[in-house]
Amino acid sequence: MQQADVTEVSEVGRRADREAGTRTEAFQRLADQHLEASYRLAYAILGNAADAQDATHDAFVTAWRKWSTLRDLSAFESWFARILVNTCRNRLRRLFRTRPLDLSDELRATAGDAYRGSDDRALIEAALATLSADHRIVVALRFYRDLTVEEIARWLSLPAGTVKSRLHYALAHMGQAIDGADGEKPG
Amino acid sequence: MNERVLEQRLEGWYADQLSGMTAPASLRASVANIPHATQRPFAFRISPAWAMILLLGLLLALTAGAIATGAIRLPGDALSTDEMLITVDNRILAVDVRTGASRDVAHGTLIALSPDRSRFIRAVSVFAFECYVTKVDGTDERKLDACGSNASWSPDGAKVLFYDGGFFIADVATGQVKHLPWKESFKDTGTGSWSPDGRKVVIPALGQLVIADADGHPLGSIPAAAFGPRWSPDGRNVVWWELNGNWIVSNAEVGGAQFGKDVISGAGMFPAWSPDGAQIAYITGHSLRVVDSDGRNDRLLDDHAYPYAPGPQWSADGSQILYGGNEAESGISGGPMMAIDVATGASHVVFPTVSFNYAW
Repeated sequence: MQQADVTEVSEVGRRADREAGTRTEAFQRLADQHLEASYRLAYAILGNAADAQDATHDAFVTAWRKWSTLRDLSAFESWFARILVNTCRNRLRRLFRTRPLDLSDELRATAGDAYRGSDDRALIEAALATLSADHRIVVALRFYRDLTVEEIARWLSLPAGTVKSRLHYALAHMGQAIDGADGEKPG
Repeated sequence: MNERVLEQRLEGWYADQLSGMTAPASLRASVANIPHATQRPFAFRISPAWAMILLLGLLLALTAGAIATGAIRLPGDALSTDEMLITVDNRILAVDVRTGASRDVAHGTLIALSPDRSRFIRAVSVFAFECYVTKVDGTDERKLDACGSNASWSPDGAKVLFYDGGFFIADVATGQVKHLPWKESFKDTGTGSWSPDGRKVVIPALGQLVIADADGHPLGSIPAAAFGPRWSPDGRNVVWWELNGNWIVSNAEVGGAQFGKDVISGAGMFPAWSPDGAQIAYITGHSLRVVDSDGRNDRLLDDHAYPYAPGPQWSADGSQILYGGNEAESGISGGPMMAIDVATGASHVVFPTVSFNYAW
């Protein structure tokens, strides 16, 4: 091999290393920037710190494994949000399979507390817990992240009509659950 | 509970729960370490030409193998009337309603199936929402210039009325769109629909049902906070529903003495005409019901239906109705897709999970 060839191959290798290093730094910088918001969104969807921490971590691992597919770094937020939401959805579905969904007793007990004058946060929490994974996700994106229906649709790759339908159903379901629980509170 | 009150309580709940919350230091540390602890993403450089050749070779080999082993069958030019399309996990499947057998058709979300069952509109989203006209063999015919979440195909298959916050009509042959001036109602109004002769559309605009010609020029309107209007097969009436849970049949003969007047109404959502126009299927609570189009003979078909859009859909011969089953039966996110024989009430599971996007 001629000297010029060796130099050229070495330069190609160095350039590849530099590019890889730059990409790694970019991932670390973006992950750091979005960590807090991602953790809070995972908490909003999953409802507890332990699951939120695990889901956030798993989502960033997935993002790193798919890192070479993200060509436009400015699109990181929506790209990663989709990974995070999917991770949370899978986690919720696993949780639903291992936990009973009927929280009517909890709702009734909570309604009693609310009626007695304590705040109604627990009632909202219990009603949220009765929602399916897909419904809980659109509710969190709409009322925690304050995204519009169109933005949620883009994040989730869903038609806007589907997002609206899920929101409508989720609110109706929660309202019915709360009204039902309130209706059975101690007189 | 009032929906607006619940929305405010939800916003307050999230604010209480999450304001000031910070990610644990252990999470920050573990995320920072991911590139070092996890194998670097595999990447190599290859010219686009070689990539295309390799990809085509791989696809040919896989397809030939799948055909040889019978794993896939070559589709015809159109779906049979026994097959429905359904979206599951961003895949569009063709499902045989009789047997439940399914096959993969394309990725994305089903928006609408053409009247001749040869094509469908699918939406895909990478970072922008895009709509394609796709043949039922899964190959794309063309991309449309705009994309909507709901659509109604004209009877001749030449145009599609879309809804996506506003309304527009797309020309299937060219992909070009014409935006209509009306705004949506305050909630998911669904798309409008075409008259059976394809000369008019009905649009659920803000505060009114607009009847326009096929180019979107208004012909008349009916004051209504209307959702999902559908034209009767005889072209005389439209059925629509409102958020308080009532469905209404209104006369849609623009210029006639009865135009805009209510014909019949009832309690329920997602009303759908039978193909012959003799019956209307609808959902009320968790019940799937059918009523004759004169308002008589209202009867329960199933009291375990799932109250989701797009609601019940009739088979082409009007003998069966496709609908979502009850949530409680699966316990996760909706029950199975069900089909029920209208005459006998016999029902069976078509697909194990409900979908928001299906067409039969």
